[in-house]
Amino acid sequence: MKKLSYKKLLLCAGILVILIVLPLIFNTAFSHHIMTMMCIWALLGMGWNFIGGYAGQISNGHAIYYAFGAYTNAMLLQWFNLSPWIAMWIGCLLSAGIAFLIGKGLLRFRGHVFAIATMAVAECVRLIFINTKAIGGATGVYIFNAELDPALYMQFTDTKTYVYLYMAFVVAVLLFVRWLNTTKFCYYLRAINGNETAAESAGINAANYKLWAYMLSAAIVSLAGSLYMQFMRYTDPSMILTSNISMMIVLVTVMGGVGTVYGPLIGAIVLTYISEYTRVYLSHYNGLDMVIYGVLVILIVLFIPDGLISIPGRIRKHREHKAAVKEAPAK
Amino acid sequence: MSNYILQVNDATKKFSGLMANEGITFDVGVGEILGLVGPNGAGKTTLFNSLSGVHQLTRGTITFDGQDITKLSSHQICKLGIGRTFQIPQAIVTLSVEENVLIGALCHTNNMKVARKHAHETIEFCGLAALADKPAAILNVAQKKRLEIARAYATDPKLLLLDETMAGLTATERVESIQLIREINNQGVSIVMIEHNMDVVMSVSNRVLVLDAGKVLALGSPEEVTSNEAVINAYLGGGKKDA
Repeated sequence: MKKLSYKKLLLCAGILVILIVLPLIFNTAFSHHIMTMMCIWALLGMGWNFIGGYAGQISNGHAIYYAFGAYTNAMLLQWFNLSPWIAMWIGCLLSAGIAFLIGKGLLRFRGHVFAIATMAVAECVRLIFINTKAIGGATGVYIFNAELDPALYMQFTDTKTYVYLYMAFVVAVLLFVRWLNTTKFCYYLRAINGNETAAESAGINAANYKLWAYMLSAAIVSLAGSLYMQFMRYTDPSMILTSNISMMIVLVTVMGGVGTVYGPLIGAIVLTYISEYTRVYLSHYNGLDMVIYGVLVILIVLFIPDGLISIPGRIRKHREHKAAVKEAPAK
Repeated sequence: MSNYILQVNDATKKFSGLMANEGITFDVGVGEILGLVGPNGAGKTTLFNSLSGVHQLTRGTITFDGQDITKLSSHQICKLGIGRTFQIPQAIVTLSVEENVLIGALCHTNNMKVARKHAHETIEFCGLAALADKPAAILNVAQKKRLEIARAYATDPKLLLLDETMAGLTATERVESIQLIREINNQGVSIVMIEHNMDVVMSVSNRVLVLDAGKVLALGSPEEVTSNEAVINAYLGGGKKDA
């Protein structure tokens, strides 16, 4: 076990204090809504990052697993009165299972073909959901029930509870990602992403590792879906299974820093903030919020392709370069 | 046969209409260095690709260390003990030099500590210590080729397939590369090396296999092969050698 330095402990304590105090300072339902959505998008990004970032296979269809997570909570509550605390893990397993089937079929494709194929499969799933009356069809599912025990059924009246609880989930998953980042699994994924031929010749079963990364990403995205369901208490295919949702999952990670530990978290914070504020304050100019959102995305992809997380490193390199140029004798 | 590490029998590879390898039969002794030479297009790399599982033979068998590996995939073959380098170095450019070798070292262990130690030892052995934390992307050709060898060697191979390791190297770099190959061979690793530089082939190989137009032209000691008339006509072309 690595000894935590005093500096690190102080940093962790500082972050903890900020997390606790933030929802108290910004104490409106809207602020809490944004913070909760930041947590959900952070989970979505961290999940997707395994297949899209580490393994380098851009999946444009992860809304499938978001939906399965949400609907599993809803249906297991409706059919069996099952607590979401249990249902969410069943959702994770179910999503991983579906990812196994889809992944087996699609992961043989790479690049654009994989991106389009996953998009197509997600669209098929959306149509299946719309046409399946047993799960609400186009009308969706609604789980709000004031008579349920708030803690047992994760339907809290105080929005702050959602913020703290979901922050805890994010921290837990972040620590998991941090650990996994140092393991053989992630090194192998990076190798496969960097050069699959070389990776195979070094003994890596690329097909298997990509499949596991895909299943893991599905499970974490499913978890986010479960938490989303508990927060919104309602969803339907047009809210949760659109290609917009799939693409935003991609964007959160790409903007923050694909294949990094903290990138998706940063991307989630920035993107949620921008998208929620533009939606609320600018949407009366029809579609302006989407325009601004889109322009920002283009700017980041053009000028900071390694994501927002690469900015400190780039500033440091720029400063080092400037210092080196100054020191070098003028020729 | 316990003193053969590799036995190739009637190896034939057809790509649609093209017969890239035809009826190739040879063996590699334990601890041997076999040079593989021939004109461009003779089917040398195609043979390597069949041996290392990049693609499968149309006909014929490959037996490695007593086991039939004809139908196995590249990662399975690597796990059994065949490492290979590529004609165009396939460094994993998104990783550092150390991480590239670590990938090889992780072949037989799940323990990161053990793998890192092994990677570190391999980097020292291959003379890459000064470059360990550099990104593989900034390496020059000679360094990338050395990294290829290091990564393959880190997988603890019994047989190493080297594809034109000397191409693009200066005379000094060639000498260093030959030394590394000899040191690896001294550790008990058998080697098959595709090479165009006849000086290198003559000085390093125990035996030489000559391919031409997909078929075996000659197999024997370097002296036998270079004095073989058919080989001279097809490949050595009246004394023409790489500088």
